[in-house]
Amino acid sequence: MSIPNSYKGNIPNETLSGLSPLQLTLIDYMIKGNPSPFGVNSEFLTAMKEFASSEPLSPLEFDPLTGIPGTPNLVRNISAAQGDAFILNGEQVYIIRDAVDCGDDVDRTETVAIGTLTTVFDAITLAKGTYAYYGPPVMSGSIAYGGGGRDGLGFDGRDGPCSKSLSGCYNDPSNSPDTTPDPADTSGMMSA
Amino acid sequence: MINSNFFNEPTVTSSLRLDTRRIGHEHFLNSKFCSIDSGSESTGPGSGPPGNSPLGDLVGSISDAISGAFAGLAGQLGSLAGGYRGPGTDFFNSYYDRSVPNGYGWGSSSLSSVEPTSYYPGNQFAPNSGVYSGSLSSLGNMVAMSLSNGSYRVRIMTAGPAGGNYRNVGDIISLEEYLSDPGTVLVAIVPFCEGYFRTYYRDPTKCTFGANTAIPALTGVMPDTFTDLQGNFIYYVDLQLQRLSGTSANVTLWDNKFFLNSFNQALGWVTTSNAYLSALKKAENTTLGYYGASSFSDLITQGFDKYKPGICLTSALRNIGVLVQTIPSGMFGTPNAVLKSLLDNNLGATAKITVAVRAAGITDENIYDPIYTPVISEILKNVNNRNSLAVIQEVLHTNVKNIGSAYDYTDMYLCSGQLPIDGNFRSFESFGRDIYPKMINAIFTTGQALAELIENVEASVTANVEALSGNTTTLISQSIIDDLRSQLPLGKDQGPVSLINVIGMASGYIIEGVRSVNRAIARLYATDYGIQLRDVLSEISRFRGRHPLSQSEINTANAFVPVNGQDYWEVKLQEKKTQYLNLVNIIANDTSGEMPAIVEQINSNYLWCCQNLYWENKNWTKANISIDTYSDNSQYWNFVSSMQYYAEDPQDVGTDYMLYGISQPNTAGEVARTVLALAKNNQILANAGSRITGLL
Repeated sequence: MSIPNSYKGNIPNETLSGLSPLQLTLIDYMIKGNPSPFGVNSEFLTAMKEFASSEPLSPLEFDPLTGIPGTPNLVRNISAAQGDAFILNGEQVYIIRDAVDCGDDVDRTETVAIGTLTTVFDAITLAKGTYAYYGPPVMSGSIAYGGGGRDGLGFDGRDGPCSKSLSGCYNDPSNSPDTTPDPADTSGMMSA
Repeated sequence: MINSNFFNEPTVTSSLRLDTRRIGHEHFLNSKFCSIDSGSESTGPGSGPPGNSPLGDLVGSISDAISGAFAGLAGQLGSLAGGYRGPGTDFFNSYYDRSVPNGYGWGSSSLSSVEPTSYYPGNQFAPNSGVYSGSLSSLGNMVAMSLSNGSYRVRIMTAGPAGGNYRNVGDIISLEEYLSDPGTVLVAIVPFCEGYFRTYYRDPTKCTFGANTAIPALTGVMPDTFTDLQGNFIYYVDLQLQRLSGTSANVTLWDNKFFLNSFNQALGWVTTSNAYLSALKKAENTTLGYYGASSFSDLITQGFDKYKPGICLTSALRNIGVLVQTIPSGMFGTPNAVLKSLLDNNLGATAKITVAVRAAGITDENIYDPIYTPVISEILKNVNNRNSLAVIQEVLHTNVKNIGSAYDYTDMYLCSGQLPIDGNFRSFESFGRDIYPKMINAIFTTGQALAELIENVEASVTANVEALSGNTTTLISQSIIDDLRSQLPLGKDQGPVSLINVIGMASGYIIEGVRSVNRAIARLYATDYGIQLRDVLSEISRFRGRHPLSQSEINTANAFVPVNGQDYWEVKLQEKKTQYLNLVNIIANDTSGEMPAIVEQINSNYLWCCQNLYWENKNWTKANISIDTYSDNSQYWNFVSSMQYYAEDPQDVGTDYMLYGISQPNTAGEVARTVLALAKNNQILANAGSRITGLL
């Protein structure tokens, strides 16, 4: 059945839009989403981060002898890399850091002793505006450093543990090459 | 070199084995496997010491849950081998022998049926210890979170029976429910909320340490006065931000589509709810008497319900023709009104009525004066000639059977045809007084029309409906008011709410409140109490984490004789918690110097923040908004098209404030703010009489 002529030839009506050029610009940004025109109020985030969020201090940004933040006057030459975390062995305090002799393409870590609890940790905890927290991890969120670091794991957020090699040059001056397969690569959801 | 055995798959012979792995942000569990698999994340030099692994805590807390639900499994779980064994893990605390030679208690277990074959070689390393910078409240909140016994949630990854039900992929249940009946399904731990400030794996509503203290802000929890919104204040803030933005930690900070959906739904809820809030407040604060009614029937029929019962009144009205036209005078039914009708209809000459009226001194101005009622009555009674009455009936369109005189027009009984008086009114006069206020502008031509109106008014209001009325102070009963209040949004003085009261957190409207709290806490920290608070909070975390600081403490802990089943760490933890609570009380009661002002500044501002946060969370729940990602691009276009309307905010629900607050300091955000400003300026200037030019 053919369509009668009276039903043909539709011509849409134009209407006044009332849209400004800035609105046309805004819709483009909205669709692209980059940069996003909207987000959580940045000043509010700052205020809440001050209220809620803590930032783990890198051991190497802290003077272990005086407790004053800054590059420490370390008795050992460990200034080549940023430390990841404090660890304690008895009263001995270590930091974990990327192994300095692994090169860029080898992902290993090493621990380096930086002092004793008395000389290091106590000094640090007495520093103004800082504190020690020993508990289980408190996971950080999207933007906050939070307890436990940006990834909630006690790190400074550079890398999550999953990206790290699971073998390393642990207190071993030889720092032999990493030859152990990374178990992370073999992880599945579960095994029977 | 590090002991590579540490990373190997542990040797486990237990039939129950727990396998935890991490994919993205989810930790997978397999009930069939009860060993802790160091797997991809739990330990390793790259991941730091044992305590730095979140699984140390996750697994530990899983064990806590197991402990509660399945104490009988403790032995089996205690045999779990491999992976991290740290003194700070709950797992270790719960199930590992603490009286082992190394003083820390891992790597060996009297509960173990299988000796672990791998553990961290430097097993004295502290769990998750670290040094942080931040405010006192950030420390307090970390401590509060670590003290929480909140449960975990798991998502079903493979369908099957579990938890007493058949579980589908994607179902989320509590870890306790899962562990009580794991069935055959595989699950992954999922957080309650992945927010801007924290990711909350444990139920954050159970994070309440400090809630009942004099200064709850110090641990960042909701004060216990908010009985139905307890837990981590920061979590609720994060929740609100997530509800507007769709934030997923480390994935995205803002999802435009999610935002639009949330914004539109919340706006719809606010707009609709405000109409109900307004009506409810009116119903709550007024009575039937306020409207001049004594019942709902009276109110709904505008009082016409009382004319309906019986047949005498309406029958009489049908027979009195144009006499009803005197109703607006307020004298209907009186002899005066009857006389007025006679004169107005040119019947003065009939039966010499005019002569008698003039003789009595009655004029058009004083005809309704009650002083003349007796005289007028006599005049009307004298109009009794049959022929004259026939003329009168004809002219007035009346039909009163057996009329004896014009005075009979005042008698409802006679006008009805001598029907029994069965309604609410005994006479035309009383009816006239009642209907007069309702019919000041009546335009009825005859009594027939008025009778039909009365009969057509719907007055079927039952006693059940009448029973809904409240007492002398409300239009509806208090129970109905309370029920509605539970459904409608909460706001100041129970009045209309704004968008801010539902989803406004991201706009930053509580900035000043938080800043004031921060400043006051910083002032508190600068006092002598600051270091005391910091130290006791650190100590709480230390004893909670079972972290010794010296060999002598290790020895003390190992030699400690349990008190009421509590070991050294648990006893010391309780001591420190008590010390903290006492210290907060001392601070709150310190009247010296600036302390009262500092405490007041913290508490009043924090309470204000909590109050607004409370409203937002409750209102979101009441709105029952369900956000999903949608693909309707028209939402974008409609939103931008409505920007002028949002800027003008004609209903004053905060759309302008909200959008301005979330506009970002970038090109796109500045364009958005300019669009808002353009509309706002046009509105303001136009209202001031300025001629707006350049409109597109």
